[in-house]
Amino acid sequence: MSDTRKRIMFFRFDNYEKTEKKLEKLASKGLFLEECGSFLWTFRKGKPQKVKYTVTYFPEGSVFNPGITDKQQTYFDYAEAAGWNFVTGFNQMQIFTSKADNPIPFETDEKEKLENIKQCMKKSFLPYMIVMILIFAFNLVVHFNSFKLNPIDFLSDTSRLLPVLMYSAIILYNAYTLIDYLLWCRRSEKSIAIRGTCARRSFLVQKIVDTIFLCFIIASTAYLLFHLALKTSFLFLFLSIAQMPILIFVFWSSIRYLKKKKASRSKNRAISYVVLIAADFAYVALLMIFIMQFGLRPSDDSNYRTVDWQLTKTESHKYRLYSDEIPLISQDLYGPIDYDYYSYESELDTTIFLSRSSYRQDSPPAKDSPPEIEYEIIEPRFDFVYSLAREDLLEIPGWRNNTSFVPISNKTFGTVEAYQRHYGKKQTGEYALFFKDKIIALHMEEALTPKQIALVKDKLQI
Amino acid sequence: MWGDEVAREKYQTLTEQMFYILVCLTKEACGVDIMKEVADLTDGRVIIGPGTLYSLLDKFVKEKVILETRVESRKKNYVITDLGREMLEKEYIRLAKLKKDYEMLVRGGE
Repeated sequence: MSDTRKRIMFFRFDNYEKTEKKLEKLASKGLFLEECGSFLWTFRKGKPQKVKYTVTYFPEGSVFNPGITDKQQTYFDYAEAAGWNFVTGFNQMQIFTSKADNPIPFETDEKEKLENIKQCMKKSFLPYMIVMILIFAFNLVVHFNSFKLNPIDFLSDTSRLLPVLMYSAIILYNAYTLIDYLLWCRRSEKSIAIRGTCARRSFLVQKIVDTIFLCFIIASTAYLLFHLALKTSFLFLFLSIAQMPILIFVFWSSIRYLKKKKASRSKNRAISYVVLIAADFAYVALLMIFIMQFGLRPSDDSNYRTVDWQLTKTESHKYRLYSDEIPLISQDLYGPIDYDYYSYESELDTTIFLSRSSYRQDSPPAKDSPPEIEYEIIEPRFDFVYSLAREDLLEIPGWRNNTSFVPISNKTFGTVEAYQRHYGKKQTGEYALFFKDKIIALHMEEALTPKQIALVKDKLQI
Repeated sequence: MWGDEVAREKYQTLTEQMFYILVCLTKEACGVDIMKEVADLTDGRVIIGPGTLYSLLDKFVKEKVILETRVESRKKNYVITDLGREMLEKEYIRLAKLKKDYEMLVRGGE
């Protein structure tokens, strides 16, 4: 039976007070710190005891160090002489424990203490926070570009909206942590200037912020997974979730392996980062190959059949023919069609911004393929989404100079605004119909006759 | 020489802990000895925590106020430099002036 226990520790690197309190509380419950990490900490089970912990920072400390450095050893010797025994460390953070009732304080000069903390934070905590903020900000920029490219696609896609929300939350949380630390430094400086001590932090505020942040991240991750589980295959889902843990594992394995091999700090750091970046690229490539091979849709979706379609005499391609229910089909407009290879697809996306239903009836490519139709119904929940959708729908790229949207009578469909697309002088079957609270885009092969318009209105309940 | 100026500038007054560390290092000593000696010298009034001791010694070496002499079975020994002595002397003069002023202005006025 193992007498150690792993615990997830949600700790803030710069908040030594909170970590100390937490460790003392755990010791009074019989859990004594053995080893700490970035996330999982190891504790030894024992008799509950009152022990003191002190969390300090040593400038030369680093996870890449092959072992304890000479200077670090001197530091430990001083600590031991004062009754503090070294337990474990993580980067610059060093944790000592003492069983004495009233041990000599680890730091006896507040100014030196603050200066040391500031120096140590500059080495890993601050760069880490800033890099995190930059990475997630970069992600936001990428998403913003994709939003600008097609705002309606973006706003109707939960699997893109939710990550944006999560990235923003992570940025906010990191910015909060960073500002909180900087403010603490300023308060401490002021306090020390009048011979006070380093400032104390309010645990309550931090606890509230942490709890809100954690709940939000867990809830949105769970929602995202649930949402994706319906839309993508499980293997792909698993591979995407596993990415972070696998990469972290690879990174730490590299660090541990090189430590065992007694590689120097700079060598370990350089190699481990190269390994991490290479592993990341390899993983993303693997995901891409996976998508290309198997696609994103779940393989057990039984609502389709696959046909082997002869494109030319020598070439063939597999097509999926779906048989979803769609409200308006070609047969409604053009009468009975004797054709076996129609694919009927419907897709419904609902987000807080809008709901969008897209329908499509199409067929594999052929010279004399039967009429295909496609239409979508957008129901924006906000005015700005409505105007974004309107702009998006009526936009014609600059290089298309022979086509335009020509207004048609609002009486035809009972709209507030309606357009039909023209190529030169020829009317097409493309309509953009704006109602008070919804927008319908029709993509037919030909302009609709009054009889067909009546049918469309009936089937789409306009 | 520039470093010396920085040190002089920085330590216009010494904290008690700095003062006693430098006093101890007028004789060669290692860190652990300094901690014990200061506590003994001051009957426990001035205590130097291990973290603070390390930071101060590290800083003093960098600023050439003290000198690392030799390493003896993991123990690093230090001794004060001329610059350090100069700083101690200055501090003594400053304290003596404080004492004199107090005697003249406060005690003498009784």
